[in-house]
Amino acid sequence: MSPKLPPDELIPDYRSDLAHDGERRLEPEFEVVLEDEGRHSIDGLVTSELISAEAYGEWLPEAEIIETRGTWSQVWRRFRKDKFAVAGLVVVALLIIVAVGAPWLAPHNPLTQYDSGLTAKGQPVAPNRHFWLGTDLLGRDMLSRLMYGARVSLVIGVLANGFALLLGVIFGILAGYFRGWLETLIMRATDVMLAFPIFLLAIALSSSISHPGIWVLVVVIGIVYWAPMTRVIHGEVLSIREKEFVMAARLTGCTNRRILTNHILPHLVAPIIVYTSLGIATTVLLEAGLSFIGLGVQPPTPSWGQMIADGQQYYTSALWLTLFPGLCIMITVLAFNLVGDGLRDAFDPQQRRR
Amino acid sequence: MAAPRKEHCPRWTLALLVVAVAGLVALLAGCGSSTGASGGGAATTSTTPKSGGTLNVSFQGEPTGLDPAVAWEIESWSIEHCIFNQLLTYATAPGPAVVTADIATVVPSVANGGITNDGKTYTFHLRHGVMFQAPVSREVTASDFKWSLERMLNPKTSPRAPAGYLYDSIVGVKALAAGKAAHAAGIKVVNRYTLEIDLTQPNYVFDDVMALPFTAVLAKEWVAKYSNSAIARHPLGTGPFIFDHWSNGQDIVLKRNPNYFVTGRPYLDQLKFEFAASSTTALLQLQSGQIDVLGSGIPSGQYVQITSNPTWKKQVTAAPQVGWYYVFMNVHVKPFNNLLVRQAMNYAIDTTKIQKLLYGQAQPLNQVFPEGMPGHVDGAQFYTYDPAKAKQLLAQAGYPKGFSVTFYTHNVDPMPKLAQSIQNDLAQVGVKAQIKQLAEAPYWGLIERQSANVPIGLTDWYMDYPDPSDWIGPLFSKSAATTDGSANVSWWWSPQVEALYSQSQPMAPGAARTKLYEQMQQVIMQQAPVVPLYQPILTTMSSKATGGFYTSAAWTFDFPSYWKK
Repeated sequence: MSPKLPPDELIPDYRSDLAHDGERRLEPEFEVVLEDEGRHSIDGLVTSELISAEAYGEWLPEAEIIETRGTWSQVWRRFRKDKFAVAGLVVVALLIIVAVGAPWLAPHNPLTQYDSGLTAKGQPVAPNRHFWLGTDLLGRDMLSRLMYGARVSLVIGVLANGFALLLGVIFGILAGYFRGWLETLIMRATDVMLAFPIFLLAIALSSSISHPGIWVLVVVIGIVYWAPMTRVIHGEVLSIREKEFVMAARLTGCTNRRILTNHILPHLVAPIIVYTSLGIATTVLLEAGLSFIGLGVQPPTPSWGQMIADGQQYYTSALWLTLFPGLCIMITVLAFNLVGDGLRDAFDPQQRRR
Repeated sequence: MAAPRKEHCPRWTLALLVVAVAGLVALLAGCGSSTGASGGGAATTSTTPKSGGTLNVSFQGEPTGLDPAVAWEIESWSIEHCIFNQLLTYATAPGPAVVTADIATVVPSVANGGITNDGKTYTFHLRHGVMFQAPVSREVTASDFKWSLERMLNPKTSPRAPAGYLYDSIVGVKALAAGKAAHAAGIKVVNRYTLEIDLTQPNYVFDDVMALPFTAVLAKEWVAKYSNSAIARHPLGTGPFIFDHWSNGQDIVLKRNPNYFVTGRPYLDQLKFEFAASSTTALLQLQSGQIDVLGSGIPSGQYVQITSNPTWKKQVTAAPQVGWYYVFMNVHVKPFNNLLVRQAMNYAIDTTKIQKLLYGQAQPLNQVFPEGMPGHVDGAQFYTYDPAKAKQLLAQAGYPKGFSVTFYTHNVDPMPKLAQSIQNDLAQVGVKAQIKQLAEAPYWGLIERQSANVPIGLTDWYMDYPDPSDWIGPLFSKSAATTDGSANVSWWWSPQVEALYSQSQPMAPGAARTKLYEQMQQVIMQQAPVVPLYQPILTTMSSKATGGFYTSAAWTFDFPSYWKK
């Protein structure tokens, strides 16, 4: 490693960026570079990133302004600028409030089959002063059921996704860092999983279990979604392990474990956060789908997918039975997707879609 | 930094998608109501049957098979009614189920010499010139009937004869069914066109059971060509329609039999049974003209809407069925081995609410025998909805805090709805029921196996023949309680009912016999192996292009009598 790289060798990249995007494009690169200075400069050794940062610093004075800000505050600053992402975040926050506070916020008991909730002919009651979003086919309050349904969706969304993530990170790191036959094994298994229709696999798994429920769903969805997560993490690890700071750490005699935990894992935080928020959206959809066909959460626990299934017979006579849970699913999925997109842009502005 | 944010395009696409989806929902909703309104115009009232055309029927469930010796569901029977004939049959006309002659020339009676004075010997004279369908194409003789009956009753040749017990009174059938004899001595071929059947004791429902599809005539050489189990997918008989093909999960198609022995019948060239994904889909297909008869009835969630629509309500047929929906409790499984718990369930379940949920498709039934079945007592009510009483009984039984149980149901409308309503009622008295919902075929397979120990669940039963022995024999007798595959899924029986049942069997129909069945009903309701929920009203629809449509008490659908306008 030569201690001093001529700036010219690095600059062409920048020039091309400058050429079509102006100064805005430069800012992120510096942040990344400067982050690394804090985290990865090793006593007695100067990494090439550090050098290049200095080189850019000499070349472009703006670097000093940005230097004072931490990674997270920069991410937040960029995220904040994205109105859609912020709107998504607000919706997600509201959903969490509703889900957590359902027992206090819900106007009725979601399981009670009200006498006044059915017409004389046994039909669901349309939205009114008493039942704000109407009642369902058994005379239960739609609004309260939707609020409790948010709990199911979020709990499964977060836990199932967390489980998929855990598997994905473990397999992804193993494959990406150690390579060799382990990589071949894991990545080919991932390919097989990805080639299999996800919904079909989820149906097969959950129908083979005699008592479906929230925990079964968490495990099933986790098993179904580990593959895409593994692939993402694998790719990230592959590129990180070739970086100079990893090489430097290895040269100083760090163990694999130390390199993984101190040098590689911190760099995976960004993709993990982004894919978690995008993954929750997919998970909510999958849960709704499974509950719709009766393999998800079991009655009487309200779940949005199951509410749509129950209401489908009434869609010409009582649209609210299917419309509201449908909207809930759509809004939730949309919100998590917007937040995920926003986070991706905020963490890694270089990869913005054009 | 306020640089233009081109990268947001994809999100606008998302927003557009939202709008599009909302629009689609509105459109769909609009479609639903507009098809209803635009289909107007008075139906051309042609009452004279017309020949030709295809009738499309939708069934929600695929039949298990079309072997008349085995199949025992509404779908199979209504299709078998098109392909096969028995010696006797049920009148193909609206109203109660009346036995009439089919391949026999007359219904045997003491007056016409068909039944001997002691009521033990029946003589059937066959019509001449009744031909098996192509490619067998030969005349049906008395020995074909002997062979078909013995096949149905012989455990070695028939895959499973679920209704074998109905024919136990024929001389020699018990030995045949036990595998100890190859033939039943009581079934005698007198000559080419005469069959004699000897009974061990008079049996006043014998002509009824001889009209059931179990006794249909099959061609020996055709059954030999396939195996005994494969014949369920290659039925061949003497009936008005010839089996054409069966595409798994898709449809069954029948074609007109040009050599049918009743001249001028059937009217239709072709019958097509389609298996719809759901009854809701089928209803939409009927409204758009793709389907002529709703084989699975009007979905419970749409009945009120359909009957309040001026156009479609004219197409609706509603007729109370002799049948019942009920909760069974397995008397061998805790806690339902306890009489007090079973009685508590009868007090705990709000059947009035269920009847309200099924508005127009259910009538109250708080006893075993439905209206239309002898033994039914008008207005009888053994239990009323009384959760306090139920709690008290549970406490007496040693369950003051209730208990947890898995409640079984299949997934065809209206069962899931009933299960959720009952689950709620049980929760009120402290019983935590977890619903376990299965597809229909595996569901019956499970609950009809005693070793599966299914504790409690939903089931139903429809009349096969208009005699209360059709309720006691399969549902509450000792022989059914000890046989896997029977419909006695409570596995309950009592010596008292057995005694009354055997006392009633040789008796002629009439007040004295009916009285015995009323007594049996009292014992059953007191012992409470079941909770009666309601008596179903069959509500179905036919398209405007369907002529002669009615629902039959015996066959449910009598396709050979329908025509296409």
